[in-house]
Amino acid sequence: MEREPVSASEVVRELRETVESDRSASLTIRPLTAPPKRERLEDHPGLRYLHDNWVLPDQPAKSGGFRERIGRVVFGSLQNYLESERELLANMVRLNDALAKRCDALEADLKAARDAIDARDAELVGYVDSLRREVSER
Amino acid sequence: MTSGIDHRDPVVLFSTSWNTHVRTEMGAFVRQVAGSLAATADVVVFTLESGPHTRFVDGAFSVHPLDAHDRSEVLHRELISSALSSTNRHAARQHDEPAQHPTIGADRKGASADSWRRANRLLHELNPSLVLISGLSDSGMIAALDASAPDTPVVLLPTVVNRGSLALPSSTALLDRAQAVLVASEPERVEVAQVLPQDRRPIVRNVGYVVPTAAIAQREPVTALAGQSYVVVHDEHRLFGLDREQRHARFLTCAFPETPIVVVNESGVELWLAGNGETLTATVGSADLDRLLAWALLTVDATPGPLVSSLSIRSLRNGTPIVVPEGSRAHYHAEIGGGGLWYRDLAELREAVREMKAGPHRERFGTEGRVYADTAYGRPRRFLDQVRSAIGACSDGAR
Repeated sequence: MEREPVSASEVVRELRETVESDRSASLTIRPLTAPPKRERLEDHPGLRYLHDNWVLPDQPAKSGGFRERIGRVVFGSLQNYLESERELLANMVRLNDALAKRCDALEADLKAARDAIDARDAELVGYVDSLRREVSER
Repeated sequence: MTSGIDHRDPVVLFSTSWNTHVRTEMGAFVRQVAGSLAATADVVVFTLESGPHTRFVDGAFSVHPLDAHDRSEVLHRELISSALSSTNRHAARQHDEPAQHPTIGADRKGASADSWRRANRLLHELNPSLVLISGLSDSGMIAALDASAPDTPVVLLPTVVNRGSLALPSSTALLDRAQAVLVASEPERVEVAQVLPQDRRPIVRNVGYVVPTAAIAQREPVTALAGQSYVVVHDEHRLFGLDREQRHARFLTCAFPETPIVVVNESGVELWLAGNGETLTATVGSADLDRLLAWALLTVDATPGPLVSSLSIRSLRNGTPIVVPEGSRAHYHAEIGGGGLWYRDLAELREAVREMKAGPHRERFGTEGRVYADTAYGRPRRFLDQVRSAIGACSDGAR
């Protein structure tokens, strides 16, 4: 069954009810949405592994005999390369350390900023409510 | 149908202002009524305005500027009338009764009577079969009329824009002298009928008002806005000769930043795009204004015309619903004509526009409003018949 069309007066009456309820309702500002909980990057197992394993051997294993002699020759001829490689790995591990610290610090800063915005919103709501009370008392 | 006026009988029109009011709704209504008679009568206009000659032809009318020595007298009178109107409107809304300003009214009557007396000799020679008087703010012409053509029937075109003007002493004198009162709308008819004394009532007839539109409007949108969903806002930047902030248009730009707001005022059209702060300004012709209205989502008539709110009517005739201030003449078009919604403050305006933009009622308001506006304000033949019929009844009654 088709509904009777609503008159302009009826629409205006409904709109006024909406406006009045908006006027009387307390101002609401929801807290900012928090991101999902994440572990600190400094505690990442990968970082721990890097710390434990970045050093490459700089001499052959003490096995004695022919194998050790061959190893000394090889290590002796690759010494410069192996030192450069160690230095590179050391710097990469330091950089990863620094990045992990910076990420954790930024996340902490972001949380502090979010908390500050929420606190300021709460102050604003309180101020608007006090203004509303003042106006309604006049 | 008879107009009660024999062929080429002279008809005199007393109008305080003539050229200066040509672009107002009041001026247009007076010209429409006088123009209806011009086909069968010589319409002679007496005005207090100054003119380059003692007589000049303006279309179908022969105009006699009475050349008020001091032009400031006329301007002063109009300024006082405007000021009284605005004060009285406020008073009438608060207390539901018109305010009284007898002292100012009495002073002005004496001053204008001297100016109107300059028409005496010509009035006597013309021996008019009918006299039209426009406006309520000046009754000084009655003395001149009674001295030269005392038995001539008088038709008053009060052009009431608020109840306060009906409380002026000059309006009482004019209503007493008139045999018929022609008004442009039903709210105006009701306001006039309410102040008339019970014992002596002139005929009060709502003859309507003609709001023309361009038939081409429905065929093609304004090029710059083609494909856009925009809102037209009529928000004058000058009222009573004073600059004013276009706060309704600014408010809507903030409230609906995604919607182009097209601001229409006396100077032309401005397109405000809130998103990037861009403003395009253009002066459009009459046909372009109809195209602009015809393709809009809705029209907010924030500063409706005081006599009939012709821009609202024009919007409705183009099938576009309206949102208008409560208590204005446009309110009648929205409520009784079923052409839209009305508001009391900016919060209600925002909700009304939101409802109209998104709601299911827009199309129905547009359709109903168009039928109402076409019937009441879109039929020149009906207007002509109404004027002639009212004047015929008035002339027959005077014989």
